[in-house]
This record gives sequence, C-alpha cells and structure tokens, in this order.
Amino acid sequence: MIKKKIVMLGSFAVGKTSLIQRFVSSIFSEKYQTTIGVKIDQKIVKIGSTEVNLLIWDLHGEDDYQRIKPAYIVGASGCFIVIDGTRKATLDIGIELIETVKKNAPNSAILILINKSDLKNEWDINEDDIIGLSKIGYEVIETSAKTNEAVELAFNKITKLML
Amino acid sequence: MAKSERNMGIFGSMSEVKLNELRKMILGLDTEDLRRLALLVNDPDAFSEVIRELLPNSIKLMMAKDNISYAELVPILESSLKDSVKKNPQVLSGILFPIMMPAIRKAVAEALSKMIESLNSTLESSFSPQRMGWRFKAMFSGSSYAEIVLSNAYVFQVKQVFLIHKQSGLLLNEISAYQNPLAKDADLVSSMLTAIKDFVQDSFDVEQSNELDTIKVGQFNIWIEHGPGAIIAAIVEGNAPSGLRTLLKETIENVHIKQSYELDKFDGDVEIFKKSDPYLQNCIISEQKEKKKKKPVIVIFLFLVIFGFASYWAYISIERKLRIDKLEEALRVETGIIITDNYYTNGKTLFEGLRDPLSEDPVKISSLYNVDTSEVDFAFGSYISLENNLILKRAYAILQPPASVKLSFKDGVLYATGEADEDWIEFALKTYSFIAGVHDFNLEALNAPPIKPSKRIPLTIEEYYFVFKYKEVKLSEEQKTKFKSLIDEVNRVLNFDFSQDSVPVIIVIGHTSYDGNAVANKKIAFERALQFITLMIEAGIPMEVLVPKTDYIEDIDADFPVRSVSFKVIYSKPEDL
Repeated sequence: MIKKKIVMLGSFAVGKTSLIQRFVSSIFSEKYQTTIGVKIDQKIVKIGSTEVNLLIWDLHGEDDYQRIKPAYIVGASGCFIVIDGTRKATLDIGIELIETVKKNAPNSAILILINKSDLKNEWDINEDDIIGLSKIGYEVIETSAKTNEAVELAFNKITKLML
Repeated sequence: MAKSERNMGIFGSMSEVKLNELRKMILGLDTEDLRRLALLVNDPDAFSEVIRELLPNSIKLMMAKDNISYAELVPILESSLKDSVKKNPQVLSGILFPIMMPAIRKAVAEALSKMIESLNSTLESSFSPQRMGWRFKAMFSGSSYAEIVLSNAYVFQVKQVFLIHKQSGLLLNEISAYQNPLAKDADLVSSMLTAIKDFVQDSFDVEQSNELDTIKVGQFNIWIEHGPGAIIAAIVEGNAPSGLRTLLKETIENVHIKQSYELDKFDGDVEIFKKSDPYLQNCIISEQKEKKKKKPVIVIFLFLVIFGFASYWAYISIERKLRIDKLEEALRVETGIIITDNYYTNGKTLFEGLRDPLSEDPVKISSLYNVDTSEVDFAFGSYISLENNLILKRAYAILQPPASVKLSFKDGVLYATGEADEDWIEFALKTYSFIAGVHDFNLEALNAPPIKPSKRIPLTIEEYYFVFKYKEVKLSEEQKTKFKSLIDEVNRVLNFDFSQDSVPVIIVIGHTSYDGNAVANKKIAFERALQFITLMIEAGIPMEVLVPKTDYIEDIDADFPVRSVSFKVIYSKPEDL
C-alpha cells in the first residue's frame, strides 16, 4: 500500500479541520473549535486500482501570533493551502504559506482551496484574485465543507497529483 | 523340384526380406521388433515390469505439464483411504500408530502439565490481594485478565516496534508481540509520534543531536532511536534495561545499512520495508520475572489431606463392613433368627427377617462384634422356631421346673430328670402339650423327693389346752364344748389312714408340778390325760394314735400352766404304732 502525508495549511478559521472532518467522517459542525498544535487523521482513497493511505495533518491556523512549524510540513507529499473566501487576508497568508511549503517540502503537490463557497455572496475575494492565484501555478478549487462541495474532488485531485 | 523349392525359398526369403523392409518403412519396426512387442504384450508380468519402470516418470511428467493435478489425485487417495478404513480400520491405525502415539503422548503430557501448573498458580494466588487487584484492573481497563497477568509476569516487555520515515512520519513497518497490537492504529500513532517529536524539537530549540528519545504514556514507555532517514520507536512496558537502547540503535543502523537507498527514495510505498521484519522482530524482547521454583506445597498438602481423608474413610468403611459381615454371619447361624435381607439405609445397615422371641437378642449379639445400634438396625417379624434348643428353652419358660429338675429334648420328646414334687409333675403333664414342638413328655427318670424332716410347724391342735382346778379331773361344760372344737380340728387336720408312710400320733400331756405331793400330782395329771384319750376314742379317733403322758412343769415361763392338759402331734410309721 502507498502511504502519503498531506498537510492542511491556511490561516485560522478558514475551515481546514471542517474540510478534513467532511472528507474523513462525512460530518460538519458549525461550532468553531480552534486547532492547537496538530491533529492527524487518515483515510484510504482508491485511485484506479491503487489504494492510497492518506495521513492528513491538520495544522493549527497561521496568524501573527502562531507560526506554523516547518517541521510539520517536511516530508509532505501534498499540501492544501486553504483560503477563506469571505476573508481576503487569508489569501495573503495562503500565498506566504505556499512559499513555506516550497521551502520545506519542495516536491510536494499543492492545491489551493477557496473554502466556504456556500457563502459566495459574502465573499471578499473576487474573480481577479482567483485568476491571480492561478497564475502562481497551482490549481484553485472552490470548496464548501458545509455543503460538501468539491471536497472529495479536492482530495482525489491532490492524491492523483502525489502519485 | 529341388530347384523349385530353392527358388521358392529364395523367393520366399527375398519376399520376406522385402516385406520386412516394407514394414520397417511403413511402421518403423522390423519383424524382430514386432516379435518382442508381441511377447511383451502377451506376457502380463513382463508388461507390468516395463510399465512399473515407466509409470512414476510418466506421472511426474504429467504433473509437471499439468496433465494431471494434485486436485485430481486427492479424491482418488481420499476414497482409497475411506475404503481401507471401512474394510479394516486396523490396517491404517497400525500404520499411523507409530506416528500418532508419541504425538498423543506428548500432547497429553503437555496438557496435564499445563493443567497442574494452572491449578497450582490458581491456588497460589487466586485469592491474593495482588490477583484481586489485577482483576479490578482488567475490569476497568478493558484489557483481558490474562493480558494483565502476563504483563505482571515480566520485568519488561517490548510490545510493539515501529519503523517510521523520519521526514514524513509515515509508518514503514511495524511488528507486535501480540496478535492484537497495543497501538491499534499504527499509522496514526507513528505520524503523531513524529509530530510530537517535531514539536518538542522545535519548541525547546534543542540541538539536532538532542532529539526526543523517550515518551511515557501511563505504564508504557516509548523508546525512540533516530537515524538519518528513519526512526525506530519501541513501546515498552516495565523497566527495560539500557541494553534495549543499544539494541534499538543497532537495529536502526542495520535498517539504514540495508535500506538507505529505499529510505532516500521513499515515495509512500512501504512494501519494500517488509525486509526489515527480522531486525524489528529482534527488538521484541522481554525479561520474565524470576520465578521462584516453588514446590507445589499447597497442591501436595491438599493432595495429602484428601488422600488422608480418603484413606481414613476407606479404612472406616472396610473395617465397618468387616464387622457387619461378621455380625451377619453370626445372625445367620443364630437359632431363632432368620435374615431375609440386609441393606444400607439412613446411615445404618438394616437387617430384615424373622425372630423367635426366645432367641438371643440381636443387639446383644451385635455388641459381641463391636457393632452398636448407631450402625445397625433390626426389623424382625416374630415366629416360633422349632430348633431343639429353642423348644427346650420354651419348655423351661412354660413349665418352670424346680431347680432339681433338668429338662432335655430329643426327637419331639421332652425328658425330665431329677426330683420334683407331685404338684409340679401334675402341672407339667397338663401343660407340656402346649409347648410347640413337644409331642411327648417322658418323666420316667424323675424321682419323688425324699421326705425331709421339715421344720415342725405347730398345729392349731397343739394350741389347745384345758386347765383344771386343784384335784379336779372331770371336764366342765364349757371345756366339753371346747373339746368338741378340738375334735373337729383334729378331724380336719389329721389323716389317720394307716396305709400312709407315716401316721399322726396325738400325745395327750397332763401337766403338773412338784408342788405338794408330786406323785399324787402326777397321778391326777395322768388321769386327766386318760380321760381325754377316752373321750377322743369315743369321738372316733383311733386309739393307736393316742398316747398319754405326764409332764412336770418346772419353768415359770413354760408354754402351759400347771394342772392343764395339752396335745402334741408327732408322725410315726404305722408299723411302729
């Protein structure tokens, strides 16, 4: 069996833990509980005939007071950069985190997720911003942990990218 | 003719040669080959011999080329075995015996040994506080009791070993001491361990060489050894020696030596790291608590106690049975007792049967054999025994002969010997026929008792006396009346039949004294006596039994007064009168 380490990165409260819960346990809770340190989940994904055991590292949110420890990113085969569509500031942090990933896990696949697509009418990020992100060279997927929009798709896509 | 034959022979021979060539061209076989084949086919022994040599090789080739498979052979072998067992199971059991018996013996010995060990261990500590503690622990921890007992039997034990990719934290390989590993989800555990290690490394800002090497979780310690590409983590229970650390170091070194390329190029495929199994397996070590080689004292003690009780019980039972058997034997030979059944009930041996009331008391017989009533009981119906000794006993009980009579019994006849008075004889003769078993009574040997001089009992007659006045001889009227009474008494009491052996004699005594003229006194006294004799004769008393006598009274306390007449009765043989 193939095993891969995936790291969820992003600012605080962008929905990293919710996306993992939705993907791993098919549940969603409105209640916000901040992640302290790191939490690890796993799920086996089948791509064609290949089974891949994903070890998903849910890291605490990046902010001015809490920097992500680079050691957590080392060895990752795939990284999600999660951005909250309703908060533009999270986009900037995401871009910074891409740099961190490139530095600590240069061979890692990267996917940018703009979460909370169910609140699109409240988004602070516009089409130009999304086009700008695409130009960096990584695929951008709009997701919603609440409605389960494109969550599975995102994990399947990054798994394919890692293989 | 000769030419013709020769020609024929040549032709024939040539023709044969040509035919042979033709045959060889077509069949590839000449006459000789055909002859040998014909011989072979027609001789079953020779044919079998050739087949025997070819057959094993043919089967091998068939199996190699998949013409025939084991699956096809198995049903044939199975049905052959089934038939063999059905026909005669002894054959197969005889074949298997040398293989099976040692295995069975070994298995039985091992099972017995385990059972004794288990019993011993259970007895030793089933109720110890330690064991009770373990049971509570098992109850609340969710672990099985056996696991907790086992873990307490070790000083330390390496329960699980992880080989983890250093950078990604992905689990490369894992070995567990048990089928159910302690860490259920090894992948998550190894990732988390890596995260913790990284967190510690980052948070404490320690040097690269000072990496996290031990994590303590409850009763477990996680020992970690780092290599450049992988780390090894061992979950240890108990206090492991430092030698384990060295072992873990050597193991991670060996993994790096053997698989450093794979570690460098690791892309998530962990199958390749199965090669590290032997190294990791070496780390699954443990040290058992030194067990004192205890003698199974409790088992031996219990065994001795049980054996002692069993022996005592057996002894008591056997001894009791012997005594009861002897009693039964005695009761069976005892006359007047018939045993119909005996059995053990309510803690006693009950004897049932019939008993003559005159026979020996069974309780008394029991006491002779040291059997008391707490051990035996009797339920006898009554019957009359016709055994000789019991008939005799019955005769004694009914006839109650005097001590001078001895009874004996033979052939239905009761014999009496010795001496008995007429009354008893009369009674006995009337009664003997009521004695069961007695048909006749023989008294021939019985004598009448000799007359014994019995102590003389004073008769009423002897209490009579008549007192006279001085010189008076004749009876007064009053005295006459008294005399009549005397005569009635004499007739009532005395029997003057002279055919008897002895006849009563009445001595008529005239009492007087020496006062005055003694001779004259005696004369008057004699006259008074004679007067009474005369009157008695007149009254019908034979004169032969009447004797006059005088008596001087000297003693003041004499039975009779002076000047009186009294009477004394003696017995005398008739011929003496």
